[in-house]
Amino acid sequence: MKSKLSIGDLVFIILISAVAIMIVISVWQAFQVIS
Amino acid sequence: MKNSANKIIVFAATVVFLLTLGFSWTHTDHDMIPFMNKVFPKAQSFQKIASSPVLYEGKIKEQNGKEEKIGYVVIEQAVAYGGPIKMVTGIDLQGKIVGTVIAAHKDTPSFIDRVIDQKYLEQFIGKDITDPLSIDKDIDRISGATFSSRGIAKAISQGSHAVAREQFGLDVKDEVQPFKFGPKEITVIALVILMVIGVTFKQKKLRWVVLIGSLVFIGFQYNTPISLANIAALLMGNFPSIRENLVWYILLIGIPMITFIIGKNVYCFCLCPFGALQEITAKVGGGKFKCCNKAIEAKAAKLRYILIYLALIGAFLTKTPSFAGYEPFATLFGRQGFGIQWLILPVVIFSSFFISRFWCRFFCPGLIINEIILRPRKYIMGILEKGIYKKAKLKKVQGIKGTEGIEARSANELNKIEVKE
Repeated sequence: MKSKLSIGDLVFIILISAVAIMIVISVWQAFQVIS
Repeated sequence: MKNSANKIIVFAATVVFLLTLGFSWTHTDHDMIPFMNKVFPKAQSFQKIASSPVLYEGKIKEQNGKEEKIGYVVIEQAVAYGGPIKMVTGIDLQGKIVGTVIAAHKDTPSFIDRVIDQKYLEQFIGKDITDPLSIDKDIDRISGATFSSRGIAKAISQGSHAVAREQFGLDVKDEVQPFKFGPKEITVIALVILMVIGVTFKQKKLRWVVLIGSLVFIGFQYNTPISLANIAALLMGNFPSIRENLVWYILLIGIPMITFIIGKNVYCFCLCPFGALQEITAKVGGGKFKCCNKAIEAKAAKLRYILIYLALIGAFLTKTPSFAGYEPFATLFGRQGFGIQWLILPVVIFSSFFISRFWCRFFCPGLIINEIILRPRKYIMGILEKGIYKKAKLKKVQGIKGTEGIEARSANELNKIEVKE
């Protein structure tokens, strides 16, 4: 039986992914400043 | 099959980690000539005359073709907040500083920007090589970049004093920094003591007193929470002077020792100023958003391993500990963020109103660092327990329980804090 993603799951996944991507961008920006 | 693939990945990741860490300990000598020309533009050539510290004579060519010495350039470094700062300083034959410039640094870029923007280095021009160059006496510090100001002054004074001794034959001693023990150190020590009392005697109210005190003082007042950048500095061997930065040692050495002795993640739950803010926002907003099933949440919590790994590798490769500090702490407490960090902070704070300790549970390196401290403790305790059981001649010896649960337990503890109170 396949498990379905609830709205809560989706909101959470999007939020977590967005913050993770923003952190990666911030690390990249730090690299630009340093180099 | 999957198991062995995982082992290979972990092994490869460990090898890369150790190689890059080793690289961060190596030294690279940049070409200093452009910096030497900058501090001593009159000199037409430079001749190296000493190595410790690195010292050059600046020379000009006279009309008869002979070279004449017109001064010295000394290269010296000192540790600032995030790492060492290398200073190139020009000195004329009268023993006056004619120019100084930052040749290389591993400090937090925003601190260095502040120092340069506020023309801090101009204060040193015209100073005598025998001057102690003490902060707040001879030189005014730059507010918000105290450690960088100190590191620069120390590097310049050490270099110029060496020239005074070796080239001018003067009896100049480097100023021994007095042990700095002021309100900052007293406050942090008091909070740590209260934290230990609170944890030992399970005083929930005291825990809140410490958390709020930490938010105000370790956070907003002194902007000195433990960050991944500090851990990177520790791994890379960038230790600041204990006389000037006792708090660094209390938080980076003292807290892990307390964690090991007590066997609990004391910092995250009881002292972290950002954790305190997260708990307060969860109180206000409810923090009860039950987003998804535990499996998704557990997978999301693994994300930070990748983030921390990448941030540390980046710090090692660039030899810049501050590179690893991806947390929004400095943005909030020191208003020192840049770029997208100003977006991360409101998103994290907003989310923490609805998801209990949002940052702590999914992004903060704190839990992993505590896991690294508690894992060997659990192993040692397991061995000790085994020995005790053997002595008691018990037939059934309890094995060492797996340590995988530490992180999950930490997350559970975070949740329990919210539920219980």
